[in-house]
Amino acid sequence: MGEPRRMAEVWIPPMMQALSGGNVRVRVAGATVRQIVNNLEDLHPGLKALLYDEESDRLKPQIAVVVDGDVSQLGLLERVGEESEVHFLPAIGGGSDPFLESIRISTTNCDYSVTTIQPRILDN
Amino acid sequence: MDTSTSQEFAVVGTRPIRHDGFDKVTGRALYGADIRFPGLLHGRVLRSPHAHARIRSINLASAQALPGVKAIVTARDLALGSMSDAESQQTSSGFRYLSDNVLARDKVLYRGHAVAAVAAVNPHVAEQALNLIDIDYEVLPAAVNVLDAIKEDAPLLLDDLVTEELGTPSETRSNVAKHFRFEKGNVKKGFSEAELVVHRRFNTATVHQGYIETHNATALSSSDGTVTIWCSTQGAFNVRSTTAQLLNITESRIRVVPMEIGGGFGGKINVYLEPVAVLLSQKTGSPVRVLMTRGEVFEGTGPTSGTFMEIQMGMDRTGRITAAELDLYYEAGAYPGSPVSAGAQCALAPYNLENARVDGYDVVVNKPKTAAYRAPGATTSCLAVETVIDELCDGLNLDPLKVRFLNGVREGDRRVDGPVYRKIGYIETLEAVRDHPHWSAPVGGSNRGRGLATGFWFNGSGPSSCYITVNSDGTVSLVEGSTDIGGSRASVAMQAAEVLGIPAESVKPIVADTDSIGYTSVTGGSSVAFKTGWAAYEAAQDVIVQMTERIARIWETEIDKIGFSRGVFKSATDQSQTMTFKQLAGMLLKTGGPITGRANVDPGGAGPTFAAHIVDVQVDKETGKVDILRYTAVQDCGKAVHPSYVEGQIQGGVAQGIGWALNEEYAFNEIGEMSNPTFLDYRMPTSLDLPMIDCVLVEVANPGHPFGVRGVGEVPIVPPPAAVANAIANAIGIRLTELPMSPGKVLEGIWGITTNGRTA
Amino acid sequence: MSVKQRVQVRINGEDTEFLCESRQSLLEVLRENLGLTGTKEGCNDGNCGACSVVFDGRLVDSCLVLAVETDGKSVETIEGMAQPDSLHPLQESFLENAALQCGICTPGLLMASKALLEKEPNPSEERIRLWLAGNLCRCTGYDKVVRAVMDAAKKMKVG
Repeated sequence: MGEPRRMAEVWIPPMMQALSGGNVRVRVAGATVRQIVNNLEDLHPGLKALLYDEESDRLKPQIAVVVDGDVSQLGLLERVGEESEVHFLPAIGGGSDPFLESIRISTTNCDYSVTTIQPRILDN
Repeated sequence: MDTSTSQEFAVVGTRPIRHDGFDKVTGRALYGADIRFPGLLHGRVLRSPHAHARIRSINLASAQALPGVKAIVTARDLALGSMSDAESQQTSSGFRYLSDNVLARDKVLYRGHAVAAVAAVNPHVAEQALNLIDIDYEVLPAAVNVLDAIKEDAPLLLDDLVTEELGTPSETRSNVAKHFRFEKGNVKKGFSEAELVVHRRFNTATVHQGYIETHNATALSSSDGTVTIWCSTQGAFNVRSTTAQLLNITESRIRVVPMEIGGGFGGKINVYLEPVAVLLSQKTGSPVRVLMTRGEVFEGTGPTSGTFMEIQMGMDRTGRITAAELDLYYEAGAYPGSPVSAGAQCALAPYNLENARVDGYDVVVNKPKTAAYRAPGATTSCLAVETVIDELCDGLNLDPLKVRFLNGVREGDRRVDGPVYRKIGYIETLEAVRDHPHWSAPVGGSNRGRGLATGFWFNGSGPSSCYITVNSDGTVSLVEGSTDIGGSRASVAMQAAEVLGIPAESVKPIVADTDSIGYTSVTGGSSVAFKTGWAAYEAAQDVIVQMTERIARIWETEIDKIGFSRGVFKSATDQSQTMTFKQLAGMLLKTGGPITGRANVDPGGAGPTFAAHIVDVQVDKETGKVDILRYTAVQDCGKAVHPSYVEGQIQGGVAQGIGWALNEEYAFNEIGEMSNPTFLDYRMPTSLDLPMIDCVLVEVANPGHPFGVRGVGEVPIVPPPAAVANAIANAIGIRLTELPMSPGKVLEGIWGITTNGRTA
Repeated sequence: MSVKQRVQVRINGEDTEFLCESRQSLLEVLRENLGLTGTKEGCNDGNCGACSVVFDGRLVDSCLVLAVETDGKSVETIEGMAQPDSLHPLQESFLENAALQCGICTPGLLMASKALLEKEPNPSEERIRLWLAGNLCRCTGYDKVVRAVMDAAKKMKVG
């Protein structure tokens, strides 16, 4: 049995620390962000649902991932090194269209059970 | 690759005439509204006069009967509008909000909300027709500002909105779309270590990007189902995909041709008129051009958030910030999505803090849905932080610049929200301030004061594409997809020219339509010089690789025996064998055919930017007028590809920031009607309101780009309101906490009375 | 269909004739009827200057002039500023000084600057700022615009 394998350090966003048992930083194995997220879920169930969107198979549009100081354009596919530092942060739109991102998922905010009363349209 | 700024560049860093300049100074350049077709119809949009109302019925009969009216559309013509309730429940809320914002289905959520659109033979008939459309509204009470909207008994705007509370959706229907929090260390402990604690509340008014060109969209829908759209937009591919979604058209059937654009600043990313123009064209079989009036731009398109902010900061006697707490309430307008999280992340970014807490609230209100405005969210939170730091310095008798040095972040430091900074230039900008004559010049004169403020913006990236074709005369055509809102095509061309070793004038940049270039993300986030620069860099490298292969064939040698430098190919084995890029270009057609290099990128490594601004003001204590006497903007630019246009970006951002600080505001009454939707009363700075704006370009190269490029366009708008507020405090000893600091507010500050009743 | 009026006007030195409705502004007719789209619309109520033209020797906002008012008179627009083989010194100066970014206000600023230099060949910075205060620019902050006008004034004095 050799040395314990080095693992990436994942910083848990403050709002999710309740699920990580109050831990700010967690050592997680994984060669890609996807693996990190999945392994994180094994350690602290419930975190994946806050980070990952099943339907689009991507990180949630409001979540950005920063690996070793750089915002990753590749999301789940970004490679993670053994010494890497990974942060999950709110995605910011410095001039990007938040609507476009929100269209990509088909989840709704809540039970959308309200009936839309469409206006009557009177025309020739 | 060597990204130090000591690199010698031939083209990058010079100031060639921009490639599209001739057309722009002669009036030849075609902007969206300049387009003309035979048989063109003219479209206008009917908008709600009420801030909040249910639509009971829409009577189109009279309008349709008006001679010259060719078609009228409403929400029922959009994909969502024709869905059953069961079908629409399957859609995402984001999709519904976007569709409803383009044309409202059953409710209008702001004065100016689009409800119907008309196509007619000329704009006057179209306008007459709008007046003939009879809509029966059930007016509802409106929640006009953020403090009203968060009250328990506030009228609710959206039937399906529940608060996402600290990351998880709650059961509570509310106007608060999201509540999030950043936390670090222990703020209570931090405050106990402070020598002085300052607690302040801020109100900032809604402001608009103020681009001079109004929105436009022209569409032609052919009977074979193909659609062409000509428009002034910051993102042609975004227009294509959004229009496809909203109208349920296959995306590839739509071609979007970006015209020249008269300003955007983030506000022309959103899609408003394009789907409407397509619908009208579908119904009439003619090309239809839809334009907004200036009033419609104010009332119908996204301004940026008005805010309420509460902040508390503590400082010890050495000047170290021991704790910071912020509560940011940002107005999202009618649908969720204010830039509050960016505001939260930027506010404390320049500082190394042990203890901090930021809570952000995204709140819907009966105002136009907010859109991005140059560093969205950062200007207002910066106002809160930078003025409180200034007040702490005052109270502890400390130099505000020295305090920034003490707390300022460096490479390897950690941002308050987590990530470690790579190579950044905050300290370097502070040094440039310290060494600048403006900082040590005497302020001179009564009621004159000086203010300092610093700011931060992330800078973005995204997918981009480029291809470069070599012409026989040694010039190249460079095709890219980033619509040019400020001169970026020159910057992109220059980066290619640098690689190819040819003059900037030998590159012909073209901004192409969505069929002619690979996917390119929106022009925004200060990303174009970075991401499309990368694409041009790699496409140019691809050209060199192919040219090298070609010359190997011509010289009958191997590729690895050929070197290329500064536009000249050299044989490694025979010193006399050289050929310039231009010479080789002239031989291509006879030696195997044309050469086109290409690249598709989505680059990481965009570096963030810091800015530090110094401003001198004079306050007239009788009228409350504030004059800007002198302004110096220092900014870390990575590597300024075209310094004139980098300066231009800085000066433009500063001008907008000054307008935001002193005069600009949406004046809403209590039922949500904007009383000043004109350039007369929405008071943007004129040439008479500003002095020369001196720029200092500090260059700390971004290691993530071959030339060290950092985005530059957005951060200049972040410090000005705070700098001006600090200068006013320095001049007359009054701390103003409301934007704009218009003459009336300054006088109220001097007279010691509160304003607007908007404090919580 | 409303009654149209016949208007005869000299535009950029060329005699032109068109039919228009009396409710159409000069701005609209220039752009829609005559295809001279160099003059821009920013607000349509005389507050931004993007539609600046010279009408009967005076700098005006063409959105505030009815097209029918121009009958028998002369109008100069941005399209008439350059020579066939050379730009006006102001146009060159704007390019050299990078005095435009999006360019939408540029035709208006050029018309206004030209009118100023024809009246006052050597204006101070303050005079330039005052004269151009009727032309809104959102991109540049006016710094390079003012420098461009001062530069052009120098060149035009010498040349």
